[in-house]
Amino acid sequence: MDLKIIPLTISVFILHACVQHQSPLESNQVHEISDTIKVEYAEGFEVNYTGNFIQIISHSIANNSAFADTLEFPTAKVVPDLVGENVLAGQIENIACQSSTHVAFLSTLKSIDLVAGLCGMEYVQNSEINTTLAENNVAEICAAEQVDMEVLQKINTDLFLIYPFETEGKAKYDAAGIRTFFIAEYLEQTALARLEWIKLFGLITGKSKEANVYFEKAESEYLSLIRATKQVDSKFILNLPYKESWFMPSANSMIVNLIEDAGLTYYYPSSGITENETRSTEAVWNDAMYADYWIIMASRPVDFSLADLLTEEPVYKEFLSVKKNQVIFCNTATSDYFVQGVVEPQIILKDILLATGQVSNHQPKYFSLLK
Amino acid sequence: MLALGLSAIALLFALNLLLGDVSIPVSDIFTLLSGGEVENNSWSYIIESRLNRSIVAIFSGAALALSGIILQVYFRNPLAGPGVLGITSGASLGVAFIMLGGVGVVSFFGQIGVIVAGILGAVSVLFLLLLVSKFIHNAVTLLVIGLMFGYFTSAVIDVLFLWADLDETRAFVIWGMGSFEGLQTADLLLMCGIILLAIVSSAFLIKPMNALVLGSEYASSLGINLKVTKYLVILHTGVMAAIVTVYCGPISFIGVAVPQLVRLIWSSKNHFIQIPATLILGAALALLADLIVRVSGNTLPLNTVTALIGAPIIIYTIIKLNKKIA
Repeated sequence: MDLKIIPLTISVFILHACVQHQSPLESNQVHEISDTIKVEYAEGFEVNYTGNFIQIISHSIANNSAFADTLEFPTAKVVPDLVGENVLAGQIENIACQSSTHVAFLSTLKSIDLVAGLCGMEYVQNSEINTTLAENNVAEICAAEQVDMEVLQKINTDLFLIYPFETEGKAKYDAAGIRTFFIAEYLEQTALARLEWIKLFGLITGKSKEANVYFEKAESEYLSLIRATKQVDSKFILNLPYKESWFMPSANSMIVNLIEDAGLTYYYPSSGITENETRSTEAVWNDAMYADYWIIMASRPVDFSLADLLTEEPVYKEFLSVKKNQVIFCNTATSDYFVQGVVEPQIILKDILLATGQVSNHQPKYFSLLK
Repeated sequence: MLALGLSAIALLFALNLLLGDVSIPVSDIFTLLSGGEVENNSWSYIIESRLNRSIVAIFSGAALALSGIILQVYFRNPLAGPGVLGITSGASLGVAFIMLGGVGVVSFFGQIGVIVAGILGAVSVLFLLLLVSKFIHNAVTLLVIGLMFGYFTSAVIDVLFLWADLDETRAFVIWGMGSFEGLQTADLLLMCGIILLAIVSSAFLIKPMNALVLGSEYASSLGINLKVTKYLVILHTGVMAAIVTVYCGPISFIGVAVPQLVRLIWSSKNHFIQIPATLILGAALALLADLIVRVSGNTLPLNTVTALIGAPIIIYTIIKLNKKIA
């Protein structure tokens, strides 16, 4: 045998191995488009359609720490220009969520059965969702607020939806072969922008049409409520202190914008940032003498009353809002404000409008006047 | 010198009343302090809060410093103190059992439960330490064992975090940063009453402490009842460290640093001088630390400030001790 054929064979083998093969995808790996997504309010994500794939990009807003993440779904069998690591071929069958708010979006789209792992299961107050999570044996993937990698790997998730708190965290998951995607809906500055993330969840779950229908209905209700709102010329402050610090939401935050949509004016002008601003309790005590409304979201016992609030700090009885009986309260221990509330901004708005006497015939779900 | 210390307390006290995020005219402060009324109703509460906070700082600083000097003399170790020996950690563990044990635990036991748990935790650690001291006579070894008790209780607290919800965790973490703020009049009276009782009754420890400086055998030969002294030390330091920890969080460095500072300033080894000096300096240092916290807009936690002040003093003492040994 001619020995010259050996190096030739090896060279051919190496060359063959180096060529990038583009085998066509199987039918079940191609993403089905039920409806086209158009982003109108949200600033934290965008959707691009090409002939061959859908590209979703989530990114930072304004001056928040910069981050960006991309997810691509093939919509044709041959996709030559896809970037490998961002591609998710076929329908997702198994999702893990780092936030319970993700569950609210998935539940609204009737895709809760996709959830295989969740971080912070105890924060879900909705009994229906809790029952489903229990029935599906959904794994608690966090211990003491930290993701348990072993549990996460055990559930073998198709996609882990994560906070963009630390970009090195993503690298850790990549190294473990876990596909992740940044979800930062909490950075949105308006309620409709935050709700619009349901469209992104619709894309991920193949339920774009349902997402569009839900969003348009909620949007329409929300906008019609705004149109009916009167400018009531009243100022409001928010929440309660922790010891000497009062963490007041930024004037650019979603909750402040939502309450301002009800015709009230925030006591604190915008300082340009979106994070909570820390104020001393004595500064807020002073300001509260001039704020007509005091809107509180806090975890308290079921039958928490205005009298109970006043026992927490004697100065509260001097607040203008207390004197006017205009303390609006959302008990986060008994209502699902932090989860279900994300997908029901129109109900929150209506609650505020009812509490400020601008609408009637409404059963409050999250916020009501504290009596 | 003591008069100078008292003047410093008066000045810092006045500054604590004057300075804050809300600017209140001096005339209005005097009106409020004399029981009058001002236009803005919130100001009377703000002044009351600043007043309470300053009183809490004075009593807490004095109590921690007194605990420190008692422990340093008893253990014959200048680095002993309620924080170093794990007493504060013991109190923290007691508090953690109540605060991190779930909403039901807090509402069942209430504030009294927190206080009792804190005192039990502190006294338990101190009792264990004294038990160990029967077998180990080396002061440094005992100090290390005290540190280990501290690590052990901290580890148990970490385990408790696993069962705590987000609100409980946040409340405990904020409490752990230390603060003289937030005590209402009833709690203030209870805390200051207990500390005052402990300070007054600590007069019974002056004679034994003067004798113990020269060693336990010498003290015994002078007729000092060592067993009674031991229990008095446990009771005083345990109760004082616990009550401060329960209400203000685990405040570090004051207990160790102030007695050092007293020895640097006053050469007298007589505890008739050293104890009043320790009380005054402890109070002044705590007021100063709180003033810095307030001037920083409450952005600096109290424990950060006490560490910034206390750590250099302790380092200086260690260097001085090393030179002495060399």
